[in-house]
Amino acid sequence: MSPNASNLDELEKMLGKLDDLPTLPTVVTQINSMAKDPSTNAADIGKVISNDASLSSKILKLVNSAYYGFPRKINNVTKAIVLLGFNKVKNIAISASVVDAFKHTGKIQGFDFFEFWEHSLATAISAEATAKELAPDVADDAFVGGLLHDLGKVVMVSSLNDIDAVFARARSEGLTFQDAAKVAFDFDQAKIGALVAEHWNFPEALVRCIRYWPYPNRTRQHTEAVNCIHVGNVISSALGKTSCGDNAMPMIHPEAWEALELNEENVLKITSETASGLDNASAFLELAV
Amino acid sequence: MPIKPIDEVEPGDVLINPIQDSMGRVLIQQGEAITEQLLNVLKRRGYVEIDVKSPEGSGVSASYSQSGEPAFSETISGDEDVKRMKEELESRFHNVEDTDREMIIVKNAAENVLTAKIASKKGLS
Repeated sequence: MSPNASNLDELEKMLGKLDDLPTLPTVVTQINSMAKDPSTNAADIGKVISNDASLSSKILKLVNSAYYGFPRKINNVTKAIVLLGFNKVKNIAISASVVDAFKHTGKIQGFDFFEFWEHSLATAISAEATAKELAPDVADDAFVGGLLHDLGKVVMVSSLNDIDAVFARARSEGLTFQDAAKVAFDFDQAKIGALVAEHWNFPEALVRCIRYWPYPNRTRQHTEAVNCIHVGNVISSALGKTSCGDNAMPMIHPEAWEALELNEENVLKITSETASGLDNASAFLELAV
Repeated sequence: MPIKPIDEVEPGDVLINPIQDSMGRVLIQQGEAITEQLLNVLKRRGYVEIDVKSPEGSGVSASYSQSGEPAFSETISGDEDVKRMKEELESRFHNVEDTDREMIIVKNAAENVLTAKIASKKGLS
């Protein structure tokens, strides 16, 4: 379907709303810049993050949670960076800040932020499990990309007047939210999410993951992480953590299946890892409360 | 059934029935112990009462025999949970055809994992 005047109006309206988005803490921008500087060390970054007491305490709560399973308590951010790696701590900081920015969205027109976050978390865990099994180098990117893959949906729900009709169409025709949104507007949460991620100066890999996770065949960059998130979205839905507004199973693209060399054995292992990961991830769920 | 007002539920209480959202999706499985944070989540989501038993209570756990083998009523209940899970899975995968090989593999994996989870919960009750 080609975009018509009304769809372009809606897209323009969405673009206009970007300036109204909640702002992320300055520390997130700072650590994103520091990530690009090879001379930055754990202590420098730890110091910057520690200046934001609220974010630091969230990071420490998460790294000390059952999900990471460290035997001893990690009591400062620098130590967390040394043990988990800067990339993981950076991703936790981004995720915690985004949830904070949006959690007060609450229930808008039938959209429940908690349900949204549950699906996002399950997708993150499943994408990470897929990566650990089949593309270990991108495990961190797969996790954060999974956590933020549906970011555009929150913005659409809070900005578009006709969003009720999208939920209604998905229900009455048994569609995913994404398919119903494309029929209504000719754009979806992936497109809007990528615009938001760019607006917030997120790392390029993360922007690409958010833009292309539903279309793994349309990008030739960061394909492994994109494929893992694509698969994670399906497996989380299969386990009952469906995406808010979805009334059908999202389908696995054959290209992603082949690229990752998925088969009965590794899909079962990834699904099982996802279910156990979810059992230990209550600290992440609590972020949305 | 001991339905408790949410304000009287305490961390450690065990769910007798699963908690579902408005669309009937299971959010928390039966047999799961309520943690403080889950309790906060439920309050925030507007639940006013839930069906729980205290950990030392005589609810489901009392129907287990001394040998640790589940009593007859529990076996039936376990089968019903599996049956319900399979029905939910069928409904969730309504748009998947028998020829969608990849999706059938995903569905089978989910069924295996969820069945094992139900069995494990029953064993721990």
